[in-house]
Order: sequence, then structure tokens, then C-alpha cells
Amino acid sequence: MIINNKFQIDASQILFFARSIDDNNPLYVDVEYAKKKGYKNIIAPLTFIETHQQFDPNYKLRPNPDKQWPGTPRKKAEKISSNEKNVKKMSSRKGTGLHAEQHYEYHSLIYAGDIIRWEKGENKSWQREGKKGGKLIFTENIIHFIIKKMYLL
Amino acid sequence: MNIDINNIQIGQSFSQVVVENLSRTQIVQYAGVSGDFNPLHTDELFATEIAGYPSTFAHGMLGMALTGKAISSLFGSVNIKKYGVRFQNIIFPGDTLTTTLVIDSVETIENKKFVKINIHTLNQNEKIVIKGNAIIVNF
Repeated sequence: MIINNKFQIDASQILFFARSIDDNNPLYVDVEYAKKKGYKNIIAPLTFIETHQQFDPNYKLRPNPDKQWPGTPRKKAEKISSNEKNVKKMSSRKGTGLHAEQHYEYHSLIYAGDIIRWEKGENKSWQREGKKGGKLIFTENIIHFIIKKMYLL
Repeated sequence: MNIDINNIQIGQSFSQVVVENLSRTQIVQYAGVSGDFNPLHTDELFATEIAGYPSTFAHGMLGMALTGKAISSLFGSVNIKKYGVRFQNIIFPGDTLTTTLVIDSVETIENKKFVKINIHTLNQNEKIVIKGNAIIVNF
């Protein structure tokens, strides 16, 4: 479900996320247990909101057959583009940065069934000389997640 | 919530193994669910021959999620108001990670207790992979 930066929190995706971090807290999978503990529905783990990128149509770290993808085999890159510069770019490691920090500020729990909208805040960018020489470029991305409406599943 | 926030002491610490012998499969699971398909994490040939790393390695965010497991299991997700980390070193397949939470400060403001905890996650060689802090509030 991708409509103007909105998505619905899916209980199955919470289950898969909890599995991927090997977290067996029943609050993430068992609706009855969650309700017994006083929650409206199953809740999402602390960093679950990261999965919003699945719903970002322009997310760069998901393969797109028509776009440059780091490590594209040279033969395939040549089929996509006849420009040598583009071919080199596609088959190189370029195009991704290094994730240095991540910070969350929580205002509400996220429940399965919630509709979440996200808004990108102002991006700041700065640079400094690296200790081993070269230039380090930093970019800060702020994203606000807003719960639009709760649907009971 | 396993810890009584009213009975904690500054300097008190809690440690938990958050992953043992991290598998490549688990990294693939995280890629699939998070949507971050950067081939550095899943494609050995790309990671070694093109990007020049010794092997594929975990998403920083997988390390943050594993570390977060220690916080939520001790304090309960509903009480966590802030959680931030810095990715200090790369997490590789085969790593065993231990998260330690140390109570840094406790403040009471308008009958609410605010607890600041310092967080670090070490690998099996005692190298810090994740460093951060969190604010826990009880009502």
C-alpha cells in the first residue's frame, strides 16, 4: 500500500521483523497475549519503523531493473546503457554512503493496523577533513512519522 | 517490564547476549524485512571483489535492532522515549554480540521518573560495535 508516503503496519511484517532479530517477545506476535497485557493490538519492535523504506517508491537500496544498482554485472550494465561512464558507475561500488548514527524519539507505540504517514524534515549537510586525509561528507536526514488512523484488524 | 524502575541505582548494569554466531541467513532475513538490499550485506562476491571488504557484513540497523532487544526486554517498549546509537565498528557473520546497559542518571520531574541509560554492544573480541543511549520514562 503506497499512497503519498503512507503505509499500513502489517502484523505479518512485524512477525518477520521479530524473527529477523530473533526476538521472541509474544507482544510482537500474539494478539490475545497483547490484549491481556493491556495493549490494543500487537506492537512493533523499537526500530521496526525502518521498514517504511519498503514503501518508499524512490528508495535507492532496492534493485530496480531500469536503474543503476551497485555491482551490476558489466554485461548487463552494457545492455542498460551504451554510455561507458554509466556502465562503470553501475558496476562499481559507488552510490551508497555509510550509515553512521541513528536516533529515535518515540511519541507513541506503533500497533499492527496503524496507518503511518511520513514527512521528511530538513536535511542538513556538512563536511570535514578525514583523519587519514580525504573529505568526509555528512548528511542528516530527519523523518517524522505520524499515526494517521488506527484500524482494528 | 522485568526491572523495577523505582529500585534501580546509578551505575547498575545489565548485560545480555543479543546474538550468538550471527548467521548470514539472519542478515538476509533482516534485508528482506527492512527492504535494505544493499549487496554489501548479502552478496559475497560484491562485498569482497568489488567493494574490497573481507566478507559481507550486517546492516548497522540490524545491530541497532539486536541491541534494542536488550532495552525493550528489560524496560518494556512502552516506557522508552529515546533511543539513539552510533555505529562504531562493522558486525560480521559469526559475531557474538553482548549488549550492556548502564544506568547513567535518574531524575524525577513532575512525578515521572526519567532514567538515562548508556548502551554499548561488544563483539566476541571485546570490540565496541554499537554505542548509544536511551531515555526510559515511567508514569
